[in-house]
Amino acid sequence: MPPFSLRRDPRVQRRWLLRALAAGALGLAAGSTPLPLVTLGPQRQPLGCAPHVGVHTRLTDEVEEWKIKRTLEMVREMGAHWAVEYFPWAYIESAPGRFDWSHSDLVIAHALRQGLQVVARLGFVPQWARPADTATSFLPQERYSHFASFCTRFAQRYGDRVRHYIVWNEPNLALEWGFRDPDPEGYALLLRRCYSAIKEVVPQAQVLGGALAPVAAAYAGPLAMGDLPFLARARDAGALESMDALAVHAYGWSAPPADEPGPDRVNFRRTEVLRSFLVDSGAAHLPVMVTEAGWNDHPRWTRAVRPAQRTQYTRDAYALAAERWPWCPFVAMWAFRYPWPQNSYQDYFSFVTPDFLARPIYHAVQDYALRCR
Amino acid sequence: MRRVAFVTLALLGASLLYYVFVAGGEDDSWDRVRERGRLRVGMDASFPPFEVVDAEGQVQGLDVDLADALARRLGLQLEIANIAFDGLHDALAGGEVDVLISALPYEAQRTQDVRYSTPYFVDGLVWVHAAGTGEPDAGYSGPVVVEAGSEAAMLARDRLPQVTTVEVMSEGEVLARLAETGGYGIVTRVSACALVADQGLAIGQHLTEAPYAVAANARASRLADEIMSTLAEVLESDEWMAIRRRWLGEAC
Repeated sequence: MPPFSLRRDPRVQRRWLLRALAAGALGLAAGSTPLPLVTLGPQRQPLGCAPHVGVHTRLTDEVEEWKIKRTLEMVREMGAHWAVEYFPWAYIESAPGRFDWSHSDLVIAHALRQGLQVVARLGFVPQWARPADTATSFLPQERYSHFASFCTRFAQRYGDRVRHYIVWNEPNLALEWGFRDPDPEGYALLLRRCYSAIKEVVPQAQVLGGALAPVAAAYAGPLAMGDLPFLARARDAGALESMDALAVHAYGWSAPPADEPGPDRVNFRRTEVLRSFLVDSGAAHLPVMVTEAGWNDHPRWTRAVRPAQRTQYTRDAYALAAERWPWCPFVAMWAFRYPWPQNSYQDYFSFVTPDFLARPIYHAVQDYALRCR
Repeated sequence: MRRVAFVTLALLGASLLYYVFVAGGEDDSWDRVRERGRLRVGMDASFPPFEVVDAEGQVQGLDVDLADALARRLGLQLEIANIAFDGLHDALAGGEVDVLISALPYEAQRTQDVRYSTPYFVDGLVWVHAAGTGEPDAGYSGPVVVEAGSEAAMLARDRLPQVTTVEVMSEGEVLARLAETGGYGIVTRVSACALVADQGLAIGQHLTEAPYAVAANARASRLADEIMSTLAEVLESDEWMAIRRRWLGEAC
């Protein structure tokens, strides 16, 4: 059949038409740059008149960028100035020397664009840095140098953009120390290594030590060491020389924020007991930064309060810290939002639901933080 | 062709033998419970009227009676393990208990490990109003009484922007206010059940739903089968209706 006839055949014509369309689509795709789905948006400034208001966000496992952005927008819109966020070592350096900064880059870029101060909590040991069948909180002492190298790389990556670091989390709990006996001297050494690593890169950064679980002596046991004895031994091992501030976890449980403090009581003002410890240890120059705090209003949790109490206590706690604690630059409440429902009491610490519905406590804190506007 | 058919049949036969004698044979969960003679039920006794520790230290409540009815029909003695709410699923997965009966919310993401029953009670937020008056109509813009800071307050703000919320300090106060002044309120259904009838109030439609179900270990499939089929019998019985009336009142 001659070529002319071929081109008149409708089946052949359809085939050529499809080829032409496909070629056109490919050409368009090759010649244009797709627009980003989520942009950082304009540079924002913190709102309101409560520069000490902070929250612990929980973006570690938040995958979608628009949700990261929306979360941090809502943090700012609530009137917070500080965002504490967890950056797991294992997520970033899953193999020795192989770094994936994509998620931490997103979180930090969006937080800074919202005008928030980022407090980076570092921890979570990758599999390659610990023995087989150990927990992610298990870091053998011979691997401290690897963690310090990670601290260096993190500080190099973010430089002056991240000015506050928390080294480890609640090392006075066996759970957070690889299911071993808490080891204040070991922690002091770990803190010293990471402190030096960060300060060498960003001398003006502030390294926070401690971040201990609030444990009164009466509740101490094989699973948890009292925070005061832990601090005393860590101090004797030189920990206070390896921190620029003490991180404190100040949960109120069922007591209101003004509840009297005491070494044997776990409440919001236990923070003052820890502050006194610093003063008595000759470290009055160290500020105290509350990196976790709050109340819970789960209907079935033994340490919970009623929703109205939680709202009032949280507002009162922010106010108390601002009025009475000149040595405390911020209070970060746990936890702003979870990426998905935890289906446990943890959901009732949050300020915003996973689908971005603001709980009444969000509006109450917003009223407090933006009252001057 | 004949060889292919032979190989296929051989493989099918081997799979069947493996399932019957190896995979299926490993699940002796129901036999072990029968030998033990006790049904171990996990519950967090801190949620009246479903389960609570009374003044004598005994666990009482709707779930206790339901567990008792289930155990009796299975020919077993009831053994209750009082476990904090957040430890219930771990206790089930670890084999410390055979079943959870604890006003347990259904969680879709657990269904690989957990076999849930059909819900035996649907909690969630409900309208409450004076008995004899109807539901608020769609355009209602008057006051609605809610517990301050609660999910009811969040829902009213988000879904009913036209109403004026009146916030009080507890769900009990919501009901007391409605009994005194009339009007509308939003509370959890479980709170409403026990109290509305005495106060001349009625429960209206659900605004949210939170179904409670019995949970068994999906990996102990034969035990789960026995529990679920027997539970279905209990939930259709007059005994179950009596249990509901006893603990939830006539309103529910």
